[in-house]
Amino acid sequence: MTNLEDSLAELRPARAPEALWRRIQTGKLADRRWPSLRRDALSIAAALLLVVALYFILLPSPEPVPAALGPQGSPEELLRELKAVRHKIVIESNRDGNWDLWVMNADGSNPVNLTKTPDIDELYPKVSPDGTKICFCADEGKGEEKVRNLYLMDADGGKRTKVADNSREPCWSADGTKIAFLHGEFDKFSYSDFATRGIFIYDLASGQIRQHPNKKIEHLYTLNWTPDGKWFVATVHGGMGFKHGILALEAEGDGVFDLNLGGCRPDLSPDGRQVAWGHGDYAIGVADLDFSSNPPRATNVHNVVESKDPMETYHVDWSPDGKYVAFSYGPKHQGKNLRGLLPEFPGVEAPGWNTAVADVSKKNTFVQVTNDGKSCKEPDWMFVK
Amino acid sequence: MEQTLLMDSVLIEQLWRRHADRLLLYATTVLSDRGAAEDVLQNVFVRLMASPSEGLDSEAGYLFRAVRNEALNVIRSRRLATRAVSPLFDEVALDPRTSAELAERGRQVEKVLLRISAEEREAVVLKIWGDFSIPEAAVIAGISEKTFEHRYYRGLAALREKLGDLDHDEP
Repeated sequence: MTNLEDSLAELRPARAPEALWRRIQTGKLADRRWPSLRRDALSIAAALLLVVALYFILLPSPEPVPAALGPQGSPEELLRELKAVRHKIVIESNRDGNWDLWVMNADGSNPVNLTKTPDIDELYPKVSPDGTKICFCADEGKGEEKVRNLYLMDADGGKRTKVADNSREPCWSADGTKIAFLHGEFDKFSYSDFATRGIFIYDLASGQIRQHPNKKIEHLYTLNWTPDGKWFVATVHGGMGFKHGILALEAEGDGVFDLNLGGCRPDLSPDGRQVAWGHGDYAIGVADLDFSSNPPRATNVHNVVESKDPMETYHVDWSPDGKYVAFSYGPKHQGKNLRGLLPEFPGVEAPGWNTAVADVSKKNTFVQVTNDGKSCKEPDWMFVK
Repeated sequence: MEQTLLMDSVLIEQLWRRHADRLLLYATTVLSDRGAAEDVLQNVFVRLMASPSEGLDSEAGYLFRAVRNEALNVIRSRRLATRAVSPLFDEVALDPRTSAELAERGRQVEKVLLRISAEEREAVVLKIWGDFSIPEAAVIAGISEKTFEHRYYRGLAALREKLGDLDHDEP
């Protein structure tokens, strides 16, 4: 192919709307459209009516009208609410030239460095469902020797043990007895989170690791495990015949299904009935999941957070009670010095990025819980009894 | 290899999930009208549910031909004005920089794609986004391979001329 053909082929056709599929499911043919002239005349009439209607709507009203756009709740109220939440949040942050894992209260207060290892970069924390352990990645070694390994430690930072070499993107089984993770695609270190090949499952009791039966799995990241243990949900980037998307993968089979959610980095709600994800770079989407349908599908897609350029939203994570989502919030990277490396990749500097928490029940109601902008990202909620 | 499409609702939905995006792009570029293109897809899929089709060379080829025929019927039945269409391309990408680049590239391509001749546009869309080989695409367009090839490369040349630097690698 020529450069032009390659360049064109990279463009992905816009998604056909779900509403159209629903129209098809009714079994009715499309209504015959009116001739253009008539349609145009009607459009003009409708626009005039709309202007008139807007005139009356915008007249001062004796009753206050709630804003249709903008936050439905106040950040200050949310912050006060978060002070009473007992669960904590763990993040990766580079506060002193080295990446460490920090735990803090839900409102961001009382941050504590759990790792304090000047020669090792700890990243991508995933707290066990009971809140007692943390699985995480550690970038160890320098230059050509650098490697990203997987570790486990107690929630207070003690008793560190290695889970697997050259591995990343872990997630827990709902009963906390197993950790699923992705193996690095190459021996050579890569920051690209999708440089993975194969899902592996670590049994905490036996220390044994087994590979997922589907050996063709590649280029996944942000792995999740459904509470019933039957499905994995992850992002794919250029693998298994998919360009980019969020997939549902059978935990014990070869089935791989596109959930048709535009975006990346999903996180399952504690009951497994919903998914939150980065719906583009500037929104956090939430959808209902239906694994009983064939194929599994996501419905009722809506955004709970909508940001504006240049402030991006990434790394969403549900709170243990399903009321909140934590996420990374920071400016789009400008300049070329991070060419190929993006601030949303674990372990890549993200100047100005902070951790924020949103109330899932109220659109666009969120508050930053860190404020130093020291690459505070990849939040994961920690259950506290 | 011939295959039979069993038109139960699950299979229809699978067909929809697999092909709807590029079928909609194809219909939109043929009709230059996103709303009319959606109607075309609706009619094709509703008819598919109502009447099983057997002996298809390929499901994608069948669907593209069906969409093409339906779109041509629409064109024949009335004059369509060239209308502003919804974005033809998604800008979904892993990273913001790529996403922004794709969005800009998508806008540029969309702009010039709708300006080249309908025949060349159809050839480019079938080959690039329909992902058909030249022989397959020629069958869908109902023309000889030679003619299709001619239209396709003329379409590419027209795009290249209008797009300019898209054809160059990044420094």
